[in-house]
Amino acid sequence: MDKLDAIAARVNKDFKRYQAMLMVCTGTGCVSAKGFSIRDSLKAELKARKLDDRFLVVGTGCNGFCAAGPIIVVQPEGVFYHKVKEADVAAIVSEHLVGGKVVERLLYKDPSTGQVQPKMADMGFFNKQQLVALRNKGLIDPENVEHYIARGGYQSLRRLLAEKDQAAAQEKVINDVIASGLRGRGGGGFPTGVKWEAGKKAAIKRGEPIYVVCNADEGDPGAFMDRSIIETDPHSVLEGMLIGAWAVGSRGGFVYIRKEYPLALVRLNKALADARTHGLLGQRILGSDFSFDVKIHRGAGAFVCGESSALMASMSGQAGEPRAKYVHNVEYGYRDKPTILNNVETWANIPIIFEKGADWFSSLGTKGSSGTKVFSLVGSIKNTGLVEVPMGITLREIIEDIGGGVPDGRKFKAVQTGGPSGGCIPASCLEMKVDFDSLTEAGSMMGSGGMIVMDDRTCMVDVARYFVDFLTDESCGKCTPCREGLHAMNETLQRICAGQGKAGDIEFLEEVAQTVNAASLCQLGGTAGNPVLSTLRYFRREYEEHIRQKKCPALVCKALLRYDITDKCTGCTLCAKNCPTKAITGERKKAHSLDQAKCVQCGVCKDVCNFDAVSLRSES
Amino acid sequence: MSHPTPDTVAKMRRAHKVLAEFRYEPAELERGYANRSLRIDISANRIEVRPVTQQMKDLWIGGKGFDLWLMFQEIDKDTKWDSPNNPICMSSGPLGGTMSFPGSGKTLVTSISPTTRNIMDCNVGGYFGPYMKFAGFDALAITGKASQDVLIFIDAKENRITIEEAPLESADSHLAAEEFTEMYALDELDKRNVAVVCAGRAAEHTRLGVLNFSFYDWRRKVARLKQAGRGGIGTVFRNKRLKALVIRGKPLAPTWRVAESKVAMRPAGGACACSQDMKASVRKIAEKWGQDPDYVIEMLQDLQDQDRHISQAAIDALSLETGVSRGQLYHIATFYKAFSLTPRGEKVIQVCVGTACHVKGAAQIVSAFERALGIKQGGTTKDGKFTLEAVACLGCCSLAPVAKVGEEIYGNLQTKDAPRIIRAEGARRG
Repeated sequence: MDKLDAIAARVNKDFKRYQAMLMVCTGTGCVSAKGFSIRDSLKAELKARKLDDRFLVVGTGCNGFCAAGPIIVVQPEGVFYHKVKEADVAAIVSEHLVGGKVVERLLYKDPSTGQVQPKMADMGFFNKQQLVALRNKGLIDPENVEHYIARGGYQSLRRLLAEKDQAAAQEKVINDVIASGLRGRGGGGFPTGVKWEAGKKAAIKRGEPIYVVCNADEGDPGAFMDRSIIETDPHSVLEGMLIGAWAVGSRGGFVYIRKEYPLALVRLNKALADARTHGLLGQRILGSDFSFDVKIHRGAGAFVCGESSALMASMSGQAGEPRAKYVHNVEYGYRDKPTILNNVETWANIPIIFEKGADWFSSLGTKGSSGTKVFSLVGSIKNTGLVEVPMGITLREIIEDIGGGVPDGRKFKAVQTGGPSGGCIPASCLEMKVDFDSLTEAGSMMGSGGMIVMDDRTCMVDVARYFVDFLTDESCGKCTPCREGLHAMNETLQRICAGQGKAGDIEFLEEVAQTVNAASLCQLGGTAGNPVLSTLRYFRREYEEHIRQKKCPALVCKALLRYDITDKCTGCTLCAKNCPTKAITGERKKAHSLDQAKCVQCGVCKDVCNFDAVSLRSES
Repeated sequence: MSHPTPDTVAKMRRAHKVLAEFRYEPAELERGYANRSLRIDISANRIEVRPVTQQMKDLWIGGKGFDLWLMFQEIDKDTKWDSPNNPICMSSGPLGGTMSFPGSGKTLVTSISPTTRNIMDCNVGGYFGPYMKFAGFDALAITGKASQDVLIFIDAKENRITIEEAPLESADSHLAAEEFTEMYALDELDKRNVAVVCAGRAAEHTRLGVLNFSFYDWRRKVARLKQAGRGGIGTVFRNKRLKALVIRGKPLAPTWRVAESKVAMRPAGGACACSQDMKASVRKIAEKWGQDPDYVIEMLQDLQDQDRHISQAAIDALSLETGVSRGQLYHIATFYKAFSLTPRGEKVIQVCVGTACHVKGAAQIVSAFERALGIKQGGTTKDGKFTLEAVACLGCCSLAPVAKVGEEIYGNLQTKDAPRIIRAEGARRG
C-alpha cells in the first residue's frame, strides 16, 4: 500500500473510533475571543472525566461564521454551538456528550424567525454556500498534515507525478487549468492557465529557471479570505503550488505573507515543515524526479506590495515600488526570471480541479467566471464572516440570505467591493450577478473579495475620503498621477467633509480621478480613482448636499454636525464631566447647556448620556 | 576603459614643444583668497599674474563675480564668441576647496556663448577649481587663439606654468583625461592630484560643446568627468585650439592609502560607530537569515521587534553584515509601515481603521484614545509606555471596531472603553 493511502486509512480508522469529534474554531476571529482556551479547557475537561478516548477535540481553521464565534461544531451530526464561553465547556461535556441532549441555550436562533437551528446544514448562513477552496473548512486540524491527507489531500499530486509521460502530463495540466476557466482570485481575474503557459514558454525559450509565488499579502482593509484559507487549510495551497510548479518545471517557490498574520505564519511554517518530513517537499518528491521547495518572505506593511512587480521587488529585499506594466512578470519577474504569481485562493483551487476534473470546475459559476469565490462579508451586516459562493450568485442572496441583512432595523445603503480601489454598489443593483465582469461593469471590481456592507449611517463622501486617504498614504510615490492626483483628491474631499466644499469640486474630482486611472503606472494607481468615481456615480446627491447645503445626511462628517442638549436632560452632570473641551455647563439637577463655540463634535456627551438627552443634527 | 600604455604616453610627451614658460612664487591663502589671478594669452604666448584687489573682493566676492569682472577687462563691444579676445574665465570662490559646504568644490566658468551670443556662466565639479585655488590663484582668464593644438600645464608642485604644443593626444575628453592624468601623475596615488579640462571633437563641429573637468576616481581607477555644460563653452575652448588645460596640484599628502581607507575597510567590519553589543545582536539576526540581502526586510523586522525601533547604529551594523548600503536600508526602513526610526512605546495600541471598522465608527475610537493618552495617532506618550497607531485591518472584521494591544484583542469597542483599556494595560506587565 502506498504511504499516503496508509496514512489516510489509519487516520480515518482512528476518527471512526471516536463517538464524536468536537471541532473548535481556532481562526483569528474566534482566537481573539478566547478560542484557544476553549479548545484547551475542553481537552482538559474530557481528560479529567476520562472521556478523551471517546471524544476527540480538533482545533480547526476559521468556520466562517465569525459573528457567532467562538464556535464549536459537534461532528458527525453537525450540531452548531455559537458564542461559547469557557464556562460553557462543562455543560457541553455533561449534557451533550454524556447526557446525549444538546445544550439548547448555545444553539443558534434564526434572527428573522426566532427558530432554533441546531444543525449547521440548516442554517441560512451555510446552506447557500458552496465550498471548493474552503472544502476542508472546519473538518481538519490545519496543523496536522495527516488530516489533510485523510481527506484525499496530495492524491492529485501523487497521481500526476506517477504519470508515465511526464512532459505530456505537464502539458495536459496546463491545458486543464485553461479549460477549467479558473481566473486569478487576487483581483485581476487573469486566466490562471494562460499565465502558466506563458511563463513556461518564456522559461524554455530563454533556458532559465522559473519561480512560482503565492501572494498572501492581503492588504485590502476589510478582507481576510487569504488569511483564513492559510489558517484553515494550508496544505491545499501548498499542493496547488506543487502541481503548478511541476507543470511549469519550477524548482523554487515563495510565499509572500503579511507579518500582521502571526497565526497564518505559524500554520504555514508548520505545513512546510510537515510536508518536508513526509517527502512532499524538497528533493525527489514522493520518489519522483521532481524537486521543489518553498521559502517564506514576510511583508512589512505596504499595501502596494500586493501589486505583482512591487511584491517581487520586496521579495528581493527592496522597497516595494512597481515598475511599468509592459514588462510581464511571467517573463521577467523575481530576479528577472520567469515568475508565476497567483494568490492564495487561486492556488487552493488547483488540487480539487485535478481531483474532480476541469469540466466539473467549469460547470460551477458562470460562463466567463467559473468556480466559486470566497468573500469576507463584513460591516453593517448581521452574519459577518467568511463565505464561499458560486460565481453568478446575486448580491441580494449574499447580503440578505447568507448575511441575514442589515442589523438594528437600519436601511441597506451600499456594498463596497474590491478593496480600496474598488467601488460602492447601491441598493438598486442588488439583483446584479456577482462575477468578474458584472462587478467591473458596475464601476467596482472583484478584487480579492472584501465585501463591506454599509447602512444609512455611512456617509458616502466620507467613505470616498477614507479610501482616498488610505491610498494617499499607501501610494509608493514613484509615478506622478497617483502621487499627486491622490493628494489633490484627498485635499478636496477633506475640504468637502469639513464643510468648505465649493462649486466645481465635483467636476474637479471627476477629472482628477479619471486622469489618475488612465495615467498611473501600476494597478494600484490605475484604479485609485474608483472610490471617487463610483460614489459619484451612485451618490452624487450626497456630495451636492455636502457642498451646497453643508449637510451630512448620514451624520458622519463632524464639521457639519450639531449637538444639542434637549429638555430630557435631568442635570446628572455626566456629560459635563466627560466633555473634553468643557463646552457643557449647568448646575446639578438642572438642564445643562452646550456652548457651540467650544464644541468639537466628539460625541462623548451623546455616548455617556443615560437619558437620550443629546440630539444630533446636520442642517444647513 | 583602457588606460593608455606608458609607451604611448611617453611618445606623446616627447612630441610636446614648450612655447612659453612662466615661474611664480607660491602664495599663502588668506581667508579664502590668494589675492591674485592668472591671465594666459595663447596668441602671444604670454602668462602673467594680476592682483586681486580689496575692491574686487568687496564687490564681486569670487566665482561668477570674479569671472564677469575679468570678462569685462578683456572684451569690447565687437567681441563675438569666436573672437580671439573672448576669454574663458574660471574661478573658485573664497570657500573653494574647503569642503565646508556642498558645492564648495565647484568651478565657475564664463565666456561669450556660441549658442546665445551672450555671456554665459556655468558651474562644474571636478578638482580643477580647488587645485587652482591651492596653487595660489583665485581666478584664471584664458584669451587669444593658438595656431595649432596647445596645452596649458599648471604645475603647482614646481610653481611653473607652460604653454606647449600637444599634437598627439586625443581631443576626445574621455581619452584625453586618461592620457594627461597618466602623463603627469608620478604614481597611482598621485593621480588624484591631476585635473584635466578638455573638450571633445564634437565641440569643434557644434555650438554647444561642453567643457569636461576631470577628477581621478581611485576606487574605480578611472579619470571621471564633470561638465561645464551650458552655452557651448567647450566650443570656444576648441576654437582657441586648446587641447587641454591641466593642473597638477600640490601633492596633498593623503593620511591613508586606498587599501586602508575607512570606506574600503567597511565591509571587513572595521568602521562602524555602533557598540560591540549592537554589532553582536545585529550579527545574530543577520546570521539567522543567512546574511542574505534578499532577507534584509525580515532582518529589519526582527530588529524592530527587538529594539522597538530601527536605530542609526543598527542600520550601520546591518550594512556591515549584509553589504547592503546604509542608504538602501534607510530607504527600506522609511518605505514600509512596520518600521519606526524613533522608539515606540512599551505597548503599542493598534486601533483598526480598516473599512469594516471605519463604517462602524473607528475614527471616534481613535480620537477617544488620543484624548485619553494625550497624544496624537502615531505618537508615543512621554513616559514611553504607549504608542498609539491607527492600522489598516487587523483581520477580525467581525469584532469591529477593534483595537489590539500586544496579543490582546479588544472588540466591539465604544469610545468610553478607551480609558478602561489604558488602565488595564498600564497595570499589566510585559
